[in-house]
Amino acid sequence: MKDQLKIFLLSLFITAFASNAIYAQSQSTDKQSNKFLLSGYGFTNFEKAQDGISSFSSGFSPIILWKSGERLFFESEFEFELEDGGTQVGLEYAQLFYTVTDNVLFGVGKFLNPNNLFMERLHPTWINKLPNIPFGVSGHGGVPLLATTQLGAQLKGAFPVQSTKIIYAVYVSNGPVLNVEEEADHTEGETPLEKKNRIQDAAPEDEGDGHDAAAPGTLNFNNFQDNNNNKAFGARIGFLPFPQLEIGIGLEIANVGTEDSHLADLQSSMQVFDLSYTRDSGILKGQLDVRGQFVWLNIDQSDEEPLNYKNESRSGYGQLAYRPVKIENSLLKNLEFVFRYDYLDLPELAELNTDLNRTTYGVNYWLAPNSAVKFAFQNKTIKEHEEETETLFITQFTLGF
Amino acid sequence: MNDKTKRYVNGSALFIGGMLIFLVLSIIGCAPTVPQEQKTGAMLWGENCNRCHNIRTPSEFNDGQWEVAMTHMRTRGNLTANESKKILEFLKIAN
Ligand code: HEC
Repeated sequence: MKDQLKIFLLSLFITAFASNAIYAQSQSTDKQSNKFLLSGYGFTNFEKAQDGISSFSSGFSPIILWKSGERLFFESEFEFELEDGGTQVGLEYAQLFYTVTDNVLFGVGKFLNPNNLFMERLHPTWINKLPNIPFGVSGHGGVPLLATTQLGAQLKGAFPVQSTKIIYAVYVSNGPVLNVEEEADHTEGETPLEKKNRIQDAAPEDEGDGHDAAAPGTLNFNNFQDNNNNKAFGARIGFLPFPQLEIGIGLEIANVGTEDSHLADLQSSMQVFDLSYTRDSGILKGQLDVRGQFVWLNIDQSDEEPLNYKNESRSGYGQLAYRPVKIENSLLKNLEFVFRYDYLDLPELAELNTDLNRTTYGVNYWLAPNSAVKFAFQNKTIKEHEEETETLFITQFTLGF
Repeated sequence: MNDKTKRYVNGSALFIGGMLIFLVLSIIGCAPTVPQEQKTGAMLWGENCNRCHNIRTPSEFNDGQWEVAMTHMRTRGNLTANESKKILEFLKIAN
């Protein structure tokens, strides 16, 4: 706790110092080839579950960017969050880019997963139209089915084809690791039901963290030191028939078992379909924003317990937002109405067999293009042993800078 | 069919579905719009910079800062060199 506070204060100091230096530098002439920018975002949430305790939470994510000459670029983001009585510090991403040609960028490091469009493009709180994130996209939103970030190398870019555009990204990375049964030390003599309950209790529901989601059969994406020589391979292609619409498909294949173990040959295959549509409509007197991302994850079945079941999971979300920007009323044109449906469906025979469905209704007031106050009301259905519903009210104040 | 083949069949179903949508949309997409190379910086800014987030006003940053932010957005938004160059030129005039 003390250490975490120290780290927090130190990071604040470094950020303040860096911003000073960066400010000084960015005020100077444009001729220098080495340029910095400090950006990022901060937010505070307040939430109250129907039968739960209400609570504030807060986070701050500074982004530091360097451009060195015409071809080199470095992006990094830190994440400070107040969690479990302390400050969690994370390196969200750190990637070095080299511009190969006009249409090809080469990046190495820890980068946002190009297959996980929500995390790559929409998760910063000043961009996300709701105060929390959909299921399946990260450890912060239930069990993740695909990685938030990859540790490896990627090629990405775009090719214009007449008035349309094709976007691509291909990557190799350490890839996910299959969570297998933990060593039975304190759990000896447990009945299968007791074990299942223990694992479900330990597993994250809504705000859990990827590190805890170690239920056997799920994937751990925080693979900073790989467990095998096989690297994950992934690719996404996006097509923009016109600039307002993008449709993407992606896949990732990886060996997820530990080298030389009996699970070494087990493979995971992930497929994703995504859609983004944003347009200004004269008839609707406003801006319409439609998003969706649907994920299918299959993991090979093992011959041995406990993973000898069909391990297939699905998750997805669809979101519709409308903001009457073309109405001549300064209050109304800053209001935005949002609806989202999301789901997470884990295999029935898995020890963690959650089946979640959720609808969210939100209203936002935009104070600036990069700042909003958001209010949302959520209704969640959880099917485990029996069906339960939970409602949640959540509000957020955020600024991107 | 064993599990592995099934998985790839599922996969190809998704792929074919995707390709079909691509085809339909390419036909729609062939409606006469301005080819990429002929678009001005202001046009490209208007088309690209509100796809993921609200459009950020040019006056938020000075020229040097925009140069870095635009490089960031080129990598994040998969822009071509030509697009990001033209948008940057526009931002430097408009800020
Ligand atoms: C593909 C989605 C996408 C597109 C297209 C896009 N942005 Fe962004 N933009 C983002 C994301 C995501 C962030 C936040 C970066 C982060 O938190 O990692 C961001 C951040 C920014 C920032 C804050 C500074 C920074 O670099 O973090 C500015 C300014 C900005 N965008 C301007 C633009 C402009 C100008 C364009 C048009 C060329 C544009 N954006 C197009 C996704 C996009």
